[in-house]
Amino acid sequence: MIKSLLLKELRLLGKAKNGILSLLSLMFAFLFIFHYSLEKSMKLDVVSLIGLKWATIFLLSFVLIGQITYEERESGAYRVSALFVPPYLEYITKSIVVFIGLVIIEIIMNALLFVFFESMRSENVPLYQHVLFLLPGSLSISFLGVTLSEMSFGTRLKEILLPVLLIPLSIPVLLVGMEAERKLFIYNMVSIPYLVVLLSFSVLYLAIGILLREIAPED
Amino acid sequence: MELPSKINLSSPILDFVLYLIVLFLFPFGLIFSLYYPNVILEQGLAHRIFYFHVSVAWVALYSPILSSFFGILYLFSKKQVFDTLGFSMNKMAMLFSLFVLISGPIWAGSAWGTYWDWSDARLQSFFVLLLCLFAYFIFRSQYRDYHKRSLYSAVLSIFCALNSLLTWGAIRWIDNPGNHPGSVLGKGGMDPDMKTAFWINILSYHFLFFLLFILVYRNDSIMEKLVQIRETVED
Repeated sequence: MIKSLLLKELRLLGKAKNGILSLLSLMFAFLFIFHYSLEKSMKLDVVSLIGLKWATIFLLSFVLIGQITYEERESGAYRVSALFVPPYLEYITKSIVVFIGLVIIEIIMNALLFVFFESMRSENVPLYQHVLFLLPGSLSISFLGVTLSEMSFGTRLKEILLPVLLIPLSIPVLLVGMEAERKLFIYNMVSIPYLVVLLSFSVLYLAIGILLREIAPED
Repeated sequence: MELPSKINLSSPILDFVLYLIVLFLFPFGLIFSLYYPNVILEQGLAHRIFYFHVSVAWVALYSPILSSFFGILYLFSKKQVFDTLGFSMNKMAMLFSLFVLISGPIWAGSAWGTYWDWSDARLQSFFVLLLCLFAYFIFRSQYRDYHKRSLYSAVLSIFCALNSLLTWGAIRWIDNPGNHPGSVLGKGGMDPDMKTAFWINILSYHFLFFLLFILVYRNDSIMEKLVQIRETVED
């Protein structure tokens, strides 16, 4: 069942081809503007770039989450799936697909950062470590975002309310992630406690999301 | 829906005692903190805002935790009273957080020479807490479904409480390059005169908080009953 659910969610993501293309364009434009306006005149330092990286991921995450969750609900397909699939499973698969989408975006984004910004080309930091903290951070944002998208769906201004809720609630994840990356790039130190904190956020948001799915009455 | 014929919201004895305590203790604490403790020489008179700032910060930090406690009770019992209690408690958290974010920069401007320090984890986390509370109220104002609104508000209260815990831990768990001092109770504490003024103010602001909370809760309960009456009439 999990496999077919994942396939369904991936197809939903695939159906939104134009949306994904616009996400990639948005990311490219965002990084290019910073490159063109700042990097060309003064070299951006690594701390600013870490901030830029996490801010971009945050921005793209709520566009992606809105895209993948609202469309299904608005078309009514969600009600049909709910007849056959336990709510918690639906929630987990949706979050995992959002996570997969974010990981793909992150890989492309890191490549672009590497090309556009000199400070990111640190020889001391192996390539895989560029996404070491982004992965658990994105997982937390995926679990939290899918929960919040369901909460905001019943409101009159759902497209606005999703970022309004996501901004303050995901800032702890962003702060921890950025601090961990700062230590990685400046002191060349992989901070395990920060990794544990980010994973704990994921587990916590997952638990709250499942709990909410189980107890929230359907529309 | 059955509506009670009489609604009893006030408790005259409790009200009288609370009003009396706040009436005497609050001005006493305020005047005491202005005149009794010695002035810290480097900061001048501005340091006296400490007795206000720290006292309201304590209340602002544990109000969301109390609200999340009501939220958990609501999730288990589905009783509307816990939703209203949580809502009122978050209003208090919002009010006291605003006090903290207004008094903090006034003190910082004089003590650090800058009103806001962007490298300080405690300042940022408090600001995030305020944003969480804003999000909570915006969400509540936008949701139409009564039952779901209460349910989701309970969950949002839990998120606010987590932020509150992070704010509390921001000067304990994170390498803090900013100016914000550590815990006032740690590192040998304060001088005896400061300690006396500090605890009197802590006590007085707690009573003020409790009194305001009761008043806000009563108001929210009345609004709740009003909605119920309106729904019953419409049915």
